[in-house]
Amino acid sequence: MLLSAEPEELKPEAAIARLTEHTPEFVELMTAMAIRRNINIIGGSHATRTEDGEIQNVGYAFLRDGSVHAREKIHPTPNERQYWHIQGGDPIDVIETDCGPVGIMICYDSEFPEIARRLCDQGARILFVPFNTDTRHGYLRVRYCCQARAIENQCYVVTSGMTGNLANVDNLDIEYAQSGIFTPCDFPFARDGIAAETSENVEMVAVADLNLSTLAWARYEGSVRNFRDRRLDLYRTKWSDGG
Amino acid sequence: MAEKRSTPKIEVRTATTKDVNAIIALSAKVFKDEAPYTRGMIMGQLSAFPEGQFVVVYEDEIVGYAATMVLPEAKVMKQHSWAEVTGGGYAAMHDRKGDWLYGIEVCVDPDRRRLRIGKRLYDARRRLCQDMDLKGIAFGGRLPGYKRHAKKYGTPEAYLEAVRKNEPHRSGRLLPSEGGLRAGVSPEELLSDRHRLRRPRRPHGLAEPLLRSRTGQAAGQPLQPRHRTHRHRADAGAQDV
Repeated sequence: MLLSAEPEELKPEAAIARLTEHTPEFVELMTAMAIRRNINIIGGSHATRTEDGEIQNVGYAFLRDGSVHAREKIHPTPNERQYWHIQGGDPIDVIETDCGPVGIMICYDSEFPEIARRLCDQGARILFVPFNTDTRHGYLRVRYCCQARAIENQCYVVTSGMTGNLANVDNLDIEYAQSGIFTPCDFPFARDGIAAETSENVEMVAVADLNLSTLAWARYEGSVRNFRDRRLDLYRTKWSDGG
Repeated sequence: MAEKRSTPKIEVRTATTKDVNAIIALSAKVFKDEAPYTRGMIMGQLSAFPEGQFVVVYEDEIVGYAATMVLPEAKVMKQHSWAEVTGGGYAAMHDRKGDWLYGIEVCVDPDRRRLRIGKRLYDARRRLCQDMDLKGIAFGGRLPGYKRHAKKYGTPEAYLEAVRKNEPHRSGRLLPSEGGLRAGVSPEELLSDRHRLRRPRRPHGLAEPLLRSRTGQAAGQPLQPRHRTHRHRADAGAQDV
């Protein structure tokens, strides 16, 4: 949106660099909003220049206590690497909120099951997935994977994608999304595992009440108990940080 | 006149997310040769079973940490590895319907010994076990003194049996237990497994009771090797604890 307001269309690499100049005001604005309205906001992801000069895709959580938590995208897509030279981040950690620990997985990261599992092992019960896809194929990759993450970890997955068109911005000119709030598939949840979703490719708000104790029920009493029925005697992800 | 204080100088309390950095720092101090706990692992333990994670605070400083979970008897009594039952330390497999309290971790600041920090942590676990009306406390540890006696006894199982009969002098006593005590030996995990070295060095060189029955139902029973796992030092060259 901010790039759309530039006087001239910038080349992708220059555009993403320009976007990083907006990071401070974006963070400031959202932090003020979280405090003023007394809400926790999982902002979309924003191109951010790191201390060593790299540009990364970073998701932000603005909590009502005024704290800001940044989470880097772990896996940049081939497109992000090629057009914008986006680098992948390393840390994968939950964010502690007054609604319990939550996780952020940016777009493509949701297509790697190890990330969600690690976040859920760390106690996350809601995973937030900001995404940007330009085709129905791309959108469905994210959506199918998010629904898989909700089932295999017995957690909620909240997706939020960009819709419509952005004139004047190369490589972000068309968007396709249908954001949704996904649940495990079992009796206490909606029968299709969708707590709420928006219309296709329309800018709108989806609302759902998520009860965390229902997840606990599903994990202990559900028809299937994917999270707890893991065969850790056979397999386990070993992380290079020892986790 | 001695100083009088109305607040505790040393206390055991359940850990909170505010303690995570201090717990990581403590684990880095205790486990010098390996990666410390990650933030995520501690967060996982606190989220899975908040009432089972204890810290000892000495003059506002965290000097001890004990991580605990609950497991079903079938898992506890079966041959298992630390990584398997604790899910690599995250405690995500904590089972609130289980019947045994399982010790994931105990670490004590090496500069704050002789304050009974370990005892305080084990006591907190025991109170929790009683409050929850569980069958007992189970945990794995290394075999103290095995290195010194490896040649004489050969296998860890033989050494354990000897320890039970009080044969090796001092070095390998099992802690006196009010209830029953059963122990077994588990084939060690890979040498490279960081959790092999998880247990902190104990100042007094006592073996831990592997399984202490609160009800005393196991009292007087013979040891039943292979009923419990025990992370021992299989390589004779390694140091004992």
